[in-house]
Amino acid sequence: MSDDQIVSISKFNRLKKSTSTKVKLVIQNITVYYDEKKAVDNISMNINQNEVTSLIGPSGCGKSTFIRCINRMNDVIENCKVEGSIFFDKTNIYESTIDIVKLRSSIGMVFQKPNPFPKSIYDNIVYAPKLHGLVNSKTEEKELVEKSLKEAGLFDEVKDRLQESGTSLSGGQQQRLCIARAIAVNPSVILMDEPCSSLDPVATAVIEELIDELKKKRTIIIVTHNMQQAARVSEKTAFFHLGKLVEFSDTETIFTKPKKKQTLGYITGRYG
Amino acid sequence: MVDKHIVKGFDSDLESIKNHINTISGLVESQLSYSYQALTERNSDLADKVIERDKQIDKKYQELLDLTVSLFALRQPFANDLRYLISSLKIASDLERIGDQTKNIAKASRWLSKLPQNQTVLSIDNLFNLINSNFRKVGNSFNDEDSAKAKKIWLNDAEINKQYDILFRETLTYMLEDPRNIASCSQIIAIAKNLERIGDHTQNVAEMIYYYVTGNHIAKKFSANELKQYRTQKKYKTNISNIFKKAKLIAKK
Repeated sequence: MSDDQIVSISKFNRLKKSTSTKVKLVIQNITVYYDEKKAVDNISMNINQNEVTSLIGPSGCGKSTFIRCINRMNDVIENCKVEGSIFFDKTNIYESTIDIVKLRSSIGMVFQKPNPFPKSIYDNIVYAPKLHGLVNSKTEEKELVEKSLKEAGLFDEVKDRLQESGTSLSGGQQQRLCIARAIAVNPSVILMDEPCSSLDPVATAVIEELIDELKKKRTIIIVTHNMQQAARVSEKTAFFHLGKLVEFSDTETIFTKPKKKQTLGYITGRYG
Repeated sequence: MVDKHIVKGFDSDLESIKNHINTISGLVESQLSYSYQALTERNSDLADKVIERDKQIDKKYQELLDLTVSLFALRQPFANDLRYLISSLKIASDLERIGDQTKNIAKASRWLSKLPQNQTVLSIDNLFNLINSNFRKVGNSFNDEDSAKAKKIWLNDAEINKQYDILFRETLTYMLEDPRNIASCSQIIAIAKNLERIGDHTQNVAEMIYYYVTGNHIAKKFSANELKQYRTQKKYKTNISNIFKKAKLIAKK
């Protein structure tokens, strides 16, 4: 057996384990109200750097509301009130002095339904960097477009048609374009709210492989209804129920020996 | 598993696995009794039936294997469901091996029945009764999902080893006393070894029941003293070299 074969076997045997020692986000006592109704109840957790953390739970448990707290997307919802703190690289993002636009370029977001701008593929990528002053010449723009599309695993498929509309792409390609668009402003954290739920299995697999690559440079938080996906892509998993964080642990533990009966009931399909 | 799945089909699939295990277990238990009966009664017809019947166990095991693979593919189980399926596979494999051991016992007893007279080996009854009792208990432990019972059965394997050791010394004594006993006693030792292996497989089943119910490995749940005691009891005490030295002396006389 050659050394390469031995190395490839050892890679296959290695399970996805949480090994990061750096904390990217410290979430403390986050509670969210829609008018008087409490949607998220006193959540505290640490998100490790360069890892994928998935949030699972039944519909209406507060996962999406919670993830939107991390880049203050809940600010745009009129009747939504957020209490608590989120420390991003040791700065509380809920301080009044925080530049929200800058925050959202550092913490990017990808949504369930691919939503490319009604612009060319090229313009989809450069729109935000131009706005933020991150690119100052055509050369820099082109380099950024190529880099972002390569990182999103889309460049080879679209390099000859960058001027075509972003909406002319397939569903899976559109979602990768949205990821490339998010990457273009160089966020250190990417939030994904059910990014694969409207994609076919092959496109889903491509996105999952992409997530595995992206986490080498960035921290990913993903909301998913697909437990098998959570098991495949993440190092840490958080189970939510009725707005509360029930259990937060290594993905392997959650799916093999969860500590809480509620978690066990959910992942084995004994209740929803 | 106390709580039911929302999808009832999943529960009935798991029930199907359980029924298969119980069927194999029932077949094996009867094979064990019949093979021993064939030995004690010198009944070669019964021995033949045991040998033939082993195919039924093999068939059931293959059905269980196919069913488990389907369940893995279609249900993608997690946590205790996942452990249950994997444990069931391993339990069925051990039961199938026990079935093979009973076939070997039947073959040996068929051979013995052709001898004009066999030396009675007293301690084989004790060994058989211990094995049989352990096997029944492990079946109950599986159906009751009783990890405490599984733990006791696991530890009891040391007693089986002790009984095997006693039998071994007894048969050696008979062989040394009278060379005409060598043929039958050597077969008895082989049968005893098959029984002892049945004990080992029963211990494996207990281990898997414990793992499935608790999620923990059984050996990690004993204290250092308990494990030390178990290992001491399990060790064979018969010193073969001493026995052969004595045999040489007797032969010289």
